[in-house]
Amino acid sequence: MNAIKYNCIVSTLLFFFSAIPLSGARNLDKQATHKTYALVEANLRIRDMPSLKGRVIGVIPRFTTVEVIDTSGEWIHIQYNRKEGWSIERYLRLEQQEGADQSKINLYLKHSRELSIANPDKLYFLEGQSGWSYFWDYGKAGWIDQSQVQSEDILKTEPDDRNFQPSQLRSKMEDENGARAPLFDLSRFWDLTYTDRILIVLAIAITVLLVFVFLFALATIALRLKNNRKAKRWAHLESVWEPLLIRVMGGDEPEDKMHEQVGGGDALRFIDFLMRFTPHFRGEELDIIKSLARPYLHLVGNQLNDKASEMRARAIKTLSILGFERYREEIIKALDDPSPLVAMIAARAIMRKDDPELAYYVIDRLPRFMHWSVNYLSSMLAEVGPSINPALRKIFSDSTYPARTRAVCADALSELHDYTAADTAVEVLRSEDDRDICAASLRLLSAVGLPKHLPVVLELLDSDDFVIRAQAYRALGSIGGKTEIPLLESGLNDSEPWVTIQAAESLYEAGGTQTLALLANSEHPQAMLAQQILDEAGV
Amino acid sequence: MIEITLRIIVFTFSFLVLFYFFALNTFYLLTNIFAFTSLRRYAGRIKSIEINELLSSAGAPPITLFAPAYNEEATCVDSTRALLTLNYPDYEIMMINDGSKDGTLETMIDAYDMVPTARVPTANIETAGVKQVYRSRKNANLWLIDKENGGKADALNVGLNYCRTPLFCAMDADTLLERDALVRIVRPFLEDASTVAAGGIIRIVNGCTIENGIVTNVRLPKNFLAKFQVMEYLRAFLSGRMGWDAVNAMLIISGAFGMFRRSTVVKAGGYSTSRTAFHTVGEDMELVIRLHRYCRDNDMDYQVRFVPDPVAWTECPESLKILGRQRDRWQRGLYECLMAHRKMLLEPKYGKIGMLAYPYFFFLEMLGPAIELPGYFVLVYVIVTGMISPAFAVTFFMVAVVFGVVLSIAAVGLEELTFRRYPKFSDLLQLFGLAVIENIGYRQMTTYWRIRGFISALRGKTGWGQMERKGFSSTTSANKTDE
Repeated sequence: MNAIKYNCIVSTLLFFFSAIPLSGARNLDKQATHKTYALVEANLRIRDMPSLKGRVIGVIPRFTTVEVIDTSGEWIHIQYNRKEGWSIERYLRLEQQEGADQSKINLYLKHSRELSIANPDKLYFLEGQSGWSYFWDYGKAGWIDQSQVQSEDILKTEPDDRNFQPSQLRSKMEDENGARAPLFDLSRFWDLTYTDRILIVLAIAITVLLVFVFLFALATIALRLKNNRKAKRWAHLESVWEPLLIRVMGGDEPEDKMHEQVGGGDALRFIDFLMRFTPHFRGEELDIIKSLARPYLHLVGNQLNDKASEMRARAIKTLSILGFERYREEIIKALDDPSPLVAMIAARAIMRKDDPELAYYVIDRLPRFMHWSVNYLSSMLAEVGPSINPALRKIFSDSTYPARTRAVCADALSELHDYTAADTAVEVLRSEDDRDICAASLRLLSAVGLPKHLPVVLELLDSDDFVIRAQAYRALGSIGGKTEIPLLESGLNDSEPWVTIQAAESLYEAGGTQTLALLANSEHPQAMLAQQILDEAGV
Repeated sequence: MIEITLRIIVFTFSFLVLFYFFALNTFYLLTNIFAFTSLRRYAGRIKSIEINELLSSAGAPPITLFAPAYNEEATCVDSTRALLTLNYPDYEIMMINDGSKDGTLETMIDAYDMVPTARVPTANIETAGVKQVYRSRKNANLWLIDKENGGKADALNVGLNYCRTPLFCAMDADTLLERDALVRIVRPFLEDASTVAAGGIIRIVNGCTIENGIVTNVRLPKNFLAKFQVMEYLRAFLSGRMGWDAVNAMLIISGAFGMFRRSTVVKAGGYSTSRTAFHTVGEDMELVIRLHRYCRDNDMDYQVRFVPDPVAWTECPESLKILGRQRDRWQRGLYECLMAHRKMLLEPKYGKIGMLAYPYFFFLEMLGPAIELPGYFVLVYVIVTGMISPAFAVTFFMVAVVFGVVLSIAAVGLEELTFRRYPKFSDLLQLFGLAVIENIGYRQMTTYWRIRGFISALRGKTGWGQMERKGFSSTTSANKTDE
């Protein structure tokens, strides 16, 4: 690693870190690069050790400037083009220390045709070509236009090559001076060696990463402080609001008293505060909470147009509880929100109203919610009550709806014990073979089926699908009762455990306790199952 | 000649190391960014959903909790009591005694008035013999299955055979679930009926105060090894898993806490044991990989999710020896799972799993330590021989370290942004400090353990070795590769 590279790293770091101005970094560079240079006067071999026995590791062309690292007798340790080696002193013209004028560093312009030289009388003439002369001034070498050199001290010789072109000159100049790049000259970046470039990139990467470390750490601390402040503020507001709310709800204080305590910036916090009480109150008390929230609800209403779906979902939830009547249209509209989350929150809010008229809006869009769990949807529908049965029946029987949607309706109908749906179930079982819808139809028959519906159930006892078989045994047990005990018992021989378990449970439900007890004490392969059913029933 | 060959090798290797760090950090950075965006969304999402609303609804699917136990005499009663107080409307607890040599069975029978009960299996995955099924007369939803020893995966398969709920939750016997954990982890199954598996976050309980099975005061552990692991887990779950979940390519669900759809798992063949497929110490990861494979092979519409808010607390090892053994085993598990499913590597049929998640685990998590550890030696070698300047080597090393610090601090930031489980300000500052010093020593140590595990896996040393006898004690928690 030579010092230049090292400086690159150090000063890059310094530059980014402590915001030392550019010039500061350069000063540092100058001090560190105070080196000894030498001019090579003949094509010169460099060896890997200071002896003629040393292996030749390269040849330095004539008139090259090299850096002197060390001397050992007549051998000089030099560095040239990233190579280090030893050469004989005889062919090197060493720079005199007093001649090293650092101000000249600025005079060195790589991409200009001419060199401007501050102190021409210190130049050493070396070679001339077609009006151009090659000079050396300790540390730097280059060609200049002879016409610009006025000094008497400069020895001139006749140019011996008339065809020499300034363009050749330029490229030669560039070759020889390339390594001496000033720092932070971006145009010089690509002249650096490969490793130097990587180093600088890495150094910048470290700097940027460190900036991120501090940023993240500061952001986290700021977040913590903010959260603490929020929690404190919240605790304070709560301590003011909560006792007041209780008094207002008890009729001891007017509502206005509460509003006085809600500052403009705390309106949304106040809504959150009220929301926390809503699950615990009903009727008149809930009405007081709603009325307290009314003046601030428009702020929540504004959030309905928020870009973040989570914000919209939360707004829908809040409005559905605190201001359903006022925001009814918006909540219904949210059923068609592009975000499934918002739509689902709206659906749940609407279904909670237990209003069949509203429920239709959800039922109309049921396929939209089909990725939700079937049980969850069916119990949500069932909570509305039997007034939605006709709508559910319509979807259940309509083959244009997706099978899963129809299954959800069937399950809701079973929960609602809709006896008129039994005939529909039979029809569906006759015409459909989808597992979800058949199983749901059989569950419906288990709940509301009559003996006249048994034929279709009996057919399905031999279904290839074990889920359908199991549900068929269930329906058989609850419709058939005691008369079907022998058939239910045969279900215990099924190869699928879910079917045998269902058959045994149905056997119990159908009143076959004695059959089960006999089985449990027999050698029957399902004796244990029989025992299990009896155990669980507490018999 | 030798010198030149050596040079070529060293240089090629250096580039490999460079590429490894570049790729690894790019992945980490990406998961971090994804995790950030999805955690922010998630925090908003949680606010709009009333957890208790799910509880009151009849739609909450019944769950069976599998708690496999091996020599848990000292803790089984307490941990079962904690399970009995979970906040969920309909669940069964099934403790599976995996042939414990101590008094686990008797202790449980005494404490919960267990009586032998008839119960028929619902599936027939091949397992070690089941001796007896017990049911508690005190708590009707508490079951105990006594079976021959067969390892954790085998115990879970017994649970699967006896499970009769649509969902089951696999956990370690010493995992402490938060009261709301089940309600929270069941949410993906309600919101998307095609969900087949979901994992929760694992947090480290060392240093926290526990009262009646509830973690009441969350503090950083006193033990330094445990502190480092807290940092590691935060990173692995909040930025790792969360990020992978955001791109919908979850390949790991910790065996310490995960929820699965019973029917799909049974169809896919249950947990992998020497009886069902092959023996592996990473049965939890294997199951998730197989679920992906099964579902994609059968063109099923399915989801595997990570949910960041259900919390399972677990105790982490505090001694080098046990921690080393744990990491060794995780790495072996990783190797076994990945090799068994190597067909998935860069197979477009498996979508993001085959093209992204699997290659990540294969090249960066499995082979990574094999590049990183020699990388340290090569670093020293090239400096000593002067092939690369010390400044270059140091700079490169610094980049890797500082990058690690950024990612760790970002994970702490994510925690602060969402869950804020560490209320003490000093703990927060400590986490920052840990983010820096874990890079010196701890990281290299885990790398060493992982490469040890990798080598022993390569040698085909399967099985638990000494651990086989011990079964899954408190130290052998789940497979959480340190992402």
